[in-house]
Amino acid sequence: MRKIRLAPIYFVLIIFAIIFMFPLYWAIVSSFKMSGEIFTNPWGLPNKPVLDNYIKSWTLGGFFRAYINSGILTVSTVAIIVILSSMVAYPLSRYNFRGRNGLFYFIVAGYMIPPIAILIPLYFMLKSMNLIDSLLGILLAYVGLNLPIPVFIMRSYMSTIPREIDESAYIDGASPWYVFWRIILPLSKPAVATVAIWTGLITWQDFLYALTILLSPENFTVPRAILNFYGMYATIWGYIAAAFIFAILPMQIFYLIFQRQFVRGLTAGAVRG
Amino acid sequence: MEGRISRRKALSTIAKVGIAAGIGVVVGAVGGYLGGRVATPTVTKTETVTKAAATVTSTVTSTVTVTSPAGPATVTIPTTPTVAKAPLTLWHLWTEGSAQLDWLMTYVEKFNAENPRTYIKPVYVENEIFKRQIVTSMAAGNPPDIFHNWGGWMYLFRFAKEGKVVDLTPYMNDASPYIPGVPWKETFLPGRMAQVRFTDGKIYGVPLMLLFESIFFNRKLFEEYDIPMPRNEWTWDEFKQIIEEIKEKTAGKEIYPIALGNAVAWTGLIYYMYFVLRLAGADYVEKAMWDPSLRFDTDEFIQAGKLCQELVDIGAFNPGFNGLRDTDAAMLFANGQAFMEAIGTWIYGQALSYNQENPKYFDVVAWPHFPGEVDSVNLVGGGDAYAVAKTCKYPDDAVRFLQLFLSPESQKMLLFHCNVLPGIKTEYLGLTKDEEKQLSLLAKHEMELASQATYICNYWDQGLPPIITEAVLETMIALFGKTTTPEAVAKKLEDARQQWLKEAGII
Amino acid sequence: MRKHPSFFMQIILPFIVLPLAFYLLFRLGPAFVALYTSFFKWDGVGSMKFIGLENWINLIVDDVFWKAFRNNILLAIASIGIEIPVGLFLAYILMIEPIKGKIFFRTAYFNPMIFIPAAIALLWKLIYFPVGGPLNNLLLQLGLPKIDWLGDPNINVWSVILVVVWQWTGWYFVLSLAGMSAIPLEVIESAIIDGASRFRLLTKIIIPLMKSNLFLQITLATTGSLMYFDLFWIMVEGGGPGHSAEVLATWLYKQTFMWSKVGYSCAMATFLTLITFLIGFYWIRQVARAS
Repeated sequence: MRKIRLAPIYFVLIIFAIIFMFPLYWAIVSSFKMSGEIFTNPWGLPNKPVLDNYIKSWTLGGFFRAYINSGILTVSTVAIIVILSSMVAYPLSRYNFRGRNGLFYFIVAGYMIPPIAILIPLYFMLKSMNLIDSLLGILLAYVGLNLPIPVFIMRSYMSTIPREIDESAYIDGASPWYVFWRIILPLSKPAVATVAIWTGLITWQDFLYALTILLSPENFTVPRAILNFYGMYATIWGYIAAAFIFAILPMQIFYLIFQRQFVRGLTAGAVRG
Repeated sequence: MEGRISRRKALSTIAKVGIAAGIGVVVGAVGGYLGGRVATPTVTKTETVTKAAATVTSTVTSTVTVTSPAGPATVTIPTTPTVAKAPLTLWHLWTEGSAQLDWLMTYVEKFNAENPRTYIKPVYVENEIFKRQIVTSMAAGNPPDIFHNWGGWMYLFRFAKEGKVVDLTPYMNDASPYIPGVPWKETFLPGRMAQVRFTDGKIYGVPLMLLFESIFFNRKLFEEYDIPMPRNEWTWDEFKQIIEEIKEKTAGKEIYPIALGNAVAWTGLIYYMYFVLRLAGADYVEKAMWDPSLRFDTDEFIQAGKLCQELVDIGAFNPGFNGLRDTDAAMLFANGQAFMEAIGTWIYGQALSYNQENPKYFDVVAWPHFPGEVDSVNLVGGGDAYAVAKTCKYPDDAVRFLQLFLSPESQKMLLFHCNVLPGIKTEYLGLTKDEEKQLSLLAKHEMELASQATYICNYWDQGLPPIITEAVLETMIALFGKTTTPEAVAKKLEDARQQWLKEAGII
Repeated sequence: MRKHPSFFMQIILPFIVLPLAFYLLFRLGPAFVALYTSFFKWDGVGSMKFIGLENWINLIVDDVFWKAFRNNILLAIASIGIEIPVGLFLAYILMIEPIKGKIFFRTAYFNPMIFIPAAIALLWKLIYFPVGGPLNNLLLQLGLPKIDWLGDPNINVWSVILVVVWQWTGWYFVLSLAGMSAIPLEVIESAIIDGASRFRLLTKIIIPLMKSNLFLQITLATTGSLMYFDLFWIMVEGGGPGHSAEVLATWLYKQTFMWSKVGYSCAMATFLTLITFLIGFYWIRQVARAS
């Protein structure tokens, strides 16, 4: 291949970087300005940075509560999904029983059921169990939402673990649960990480279920809280910009630290055909 | 092998911790769900549960208002009641920092301090969410004891028909302790009373105030640009001329004749309602709810639609109005970027939160007149009302609170602190000469217009049955967005009305 | 490895029972409930009234439904036509050229994916604000007329699609990266030695070898476009004038939560599920065939 000048390539790459990052830049820059300045000086750095927007939107938006709710929900959903999906993947990956593939595709095909499609029945079901406007209710919905793909990921990975490991453990007299819990699962750490990231991201970002199932502000997750905040303070742009930063901050920090795992994790499931 | 054992051990302990955390979290979530139920008046239960699972569950204070209390006003619940007072939950729509909330809390605290048996527990619900939530909670059987509504069919009469609202007529026929000597119902503005009195003649709601919609304008801008000031007798042609003149004189600037944010539909609806009011009469729509011979697909309705689109065509509105909300339009109007806005009397308070200066120059004017119009004096309006749900265990106490809230002293606070017109007649307000002097020009003009009106047409999106409301809101967005014709709009409204008549058993 | 058949079910079952129960109760079950409910008329509180195919017939004649469907298709076209090629292109450049700071670019391109969509919607609502917003401000300074991004019924659907594309291109970029890195280095090197140009390398070698990955991307793009909700709901409340920016998900949502037409929305939900299944299965078969 002919060697070409890299400068135009860098130019293109940087243009795209700007395209993808400019809203974040605008949000950061605007969050330190008073509302009037956001209109007169939209793209420049703030003349006199203020913290007022952050202070106000933190208290008025109820972000503390929202962080807690989102955090608890995400962690619990991830924990439950990791356990459930690996539980189901374990026999599916090691035992040849009739209906094994059928069961596998049965569960994974669930991915093709759009969340919006099951929202309505789920809503009424939860309502009849009196679980609307409760974190437990939305937790159950999230578990159902997240089950198919993690099963796929876990089984794919577990299939690569040699069965001899199981065999030797059984010969030593271990029970299947022991083999699963103490041996296979720890060996599946990369897949568990993938599932955790996948599930965590989806749960953290979910808006549809939060909008429908959560009704009281004290139960709101972060996506729902920012919508509520917008309803009240939409015209105070400084607040909205600060609220945006609050909304994305936890995941952003997580992402910057673990970005390799993020990228690897989110594509591993797709690539491992 | 050692490495593997220690790693395994580490992972298993992590797993154990994770399971324990997971179980703890699920338990906490259950507790949270138990504590998170807002509307049920089971005081002791929620208090003990929430104290136990403090990190996850909603706390008692959070059921008072959404936002963290800025001052003492929001914390009204005694933390360790010596005698367990029963709470009366009250759902309201007033945000933190609003004047109306101050007003409400002043009288809530007064009532709570004086009342041995019950206390009012105000709960803030966001406007759009409230519309959904009040319906679902009424249906589920756990509504709040006292709830906000706008009178009319959409909510109050619907619930009244289902027998879910306390009939206030006996209370209304007696005198209120704060206005002795006259039946309570006589102290209210007649236009407002009509909106809370159901077809069975019974009164189900207590009007809190009068809000009406009309054209508001910024005197300062008109003076600055030397444009003839709107006046109550102005005609439609004069109105259009003023718009043209504004456009000429502000060319190139980001100042527009009229602020409008029609993504919410009811803002554009104001225009349509007033055109129909002028051309067909203020009570036409209410009568048409019962009279099959009156129709919505008449020339008057089509003309109303044409007039709306005419305003769009001559560029009377700020750009982007199809995608903006009422709050965005209020911001433009408050910041002096629009000369006029067709909006309600709440605009003064709303605009203050954007701009402290400009609202001082706000004024109100009657809707432009048409040659041969049917109605020249009436208004489109309504106002917040409170009603008491049948499930309330202490309706007498609830009514006593409402009587306090409607006392002359309270209504005066409404007028002076919130700049909202009272729901009781001026003669019962007991204004002193000094107080009269304090009234702003805007308030004086508003009261003038209100006193001229013999009938107040309730907002179509509050006062009419849901099936017509849907059609109305949808068509307004399409009408102003010019994706439909005035004829199609009129037809859609008439179709909806026909369906309502069928369902109501009238035809 | 086989266990004694007598222990068989005793061992397998406990592992499967609990997850399967969750799956049936909270994912698959509701889909069938939706199917069942689609044949009834129900307002959510009263009793259900059997009306047979009436909801389905109403669906066919509902022109807002078709408008929404059209918008979903537009979204799918934009996803397949922009997100995937741009992602592929960027991944290719980053892989082929000796670029310093690949990690920086990869981080930047993927970053929008980790933002909460609801937050993006609100931020972009501000960016799109017609009077005084940064975009229109920029246009004003360039002497161009203002654009009514979210209000104009002719373009507001595209304004939202633009934001979706902006967010999701990073995802397809990363998928292409992964797909390309799975291609053995020798194949690429030998092609270069054989004198292939950049263009040829991409079109004749890399893309064919990435076929299953690309088909997977197309699957995700189409199914994702059909079920998309968040941005359309928040950025254009009410669906825009004449429902110009309505999508299937938002229209479905409104049926139940604004107008209490539960049966009707279940018909729509079932339709959505069926279509997603059909398209999903078609493309998954392509993926399987290509790998």
